[in-house]
Amino acid sequence: MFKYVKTLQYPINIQKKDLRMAKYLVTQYGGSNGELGAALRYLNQRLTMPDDKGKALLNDIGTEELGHVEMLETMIYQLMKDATLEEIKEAGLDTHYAEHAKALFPTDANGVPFTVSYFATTGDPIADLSEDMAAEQKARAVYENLIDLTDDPDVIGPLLWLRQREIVHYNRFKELMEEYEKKQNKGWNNRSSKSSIPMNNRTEIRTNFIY
Amino acid sequence: MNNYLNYPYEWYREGRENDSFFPPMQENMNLYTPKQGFERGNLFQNLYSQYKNYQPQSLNPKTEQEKAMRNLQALTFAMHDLNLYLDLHPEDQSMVMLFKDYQNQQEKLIREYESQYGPLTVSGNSMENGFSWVNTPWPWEVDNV
Repeated sequence: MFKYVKTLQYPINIQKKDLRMAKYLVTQYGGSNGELGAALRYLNQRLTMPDDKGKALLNDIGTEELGHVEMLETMIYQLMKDATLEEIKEAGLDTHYAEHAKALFPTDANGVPFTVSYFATTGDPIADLSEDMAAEQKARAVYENLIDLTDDPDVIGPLLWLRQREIVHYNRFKELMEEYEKKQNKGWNNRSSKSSIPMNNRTEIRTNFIY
Repeated sequence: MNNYLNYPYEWYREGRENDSFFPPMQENMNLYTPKQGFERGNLFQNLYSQYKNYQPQSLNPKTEQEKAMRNLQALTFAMHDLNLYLDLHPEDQSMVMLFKDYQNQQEKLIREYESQYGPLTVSGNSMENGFSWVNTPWPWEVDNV
């Protein structure tokens, strides 16, 4: 189960409203490389990870990503909350206002709503971890684009911090995947080195490896 | 910008089939202090990667409550980053010891914070001031701690 702690993982206090930035930032909330997709992807994939390490890592990173969803929500909320209707129209958020007023709604920066297809799960740990590594790198790249788009230190601070978390997660996923690959290769090499394996069995050996 | 240059170089060496390709990670692993790690978003010096010439924001707590919260957040962050490492290296005794040490300190900081400023989890509600969970500030509010 999950238990709420009444604090952000890293502090956010944005003093200056900035609707354009809110409009860009929303993509890390509800876009294809965003935190909501990441949290749900990992918490979904954790169930079919082949060993304890994999289950633990996907569980713990997925849980952290929920905390990042909250950080993005906080940033968007604080950037928008004091805006006038005029400012909302000017920033092109009038279409958002029409449907959601100042409430949060997970979309990408172009207003495309969040979809569960963002967390493609295959049940194959190598494929899933490759997806996760790519997701972390894409999120890192998007955080860098977002940092380039602002000069407000109250916004840059948390974005730099979130970007750094992508790098740590990428490296942990990579470490786990390489361990799985190594086990996979070992299984294959050990069996094939016993020689005299009939050619027609090789496909079976290749596909029936165990982690 | 080559972020991968900051990743541990072993991962780019040839000869991956060789067992010695995976040295115990602590060999070249230096940790930041909880405060340094918390400000960077990364406890592991060998994984830290700077973007352009941006420096991590320095958090300068102004009030006693902010100070107490930052200490707790920093320690909680350090434990979490150790947690992710230990998920893959549960046998690393020195890291387990460090985690235990942080765990003891964290318990103390939580107790002190909650007795002064109110509950952090609903079960941390002391009930002396009634059900204060509902009226202590929410973290998304501006000027929250």
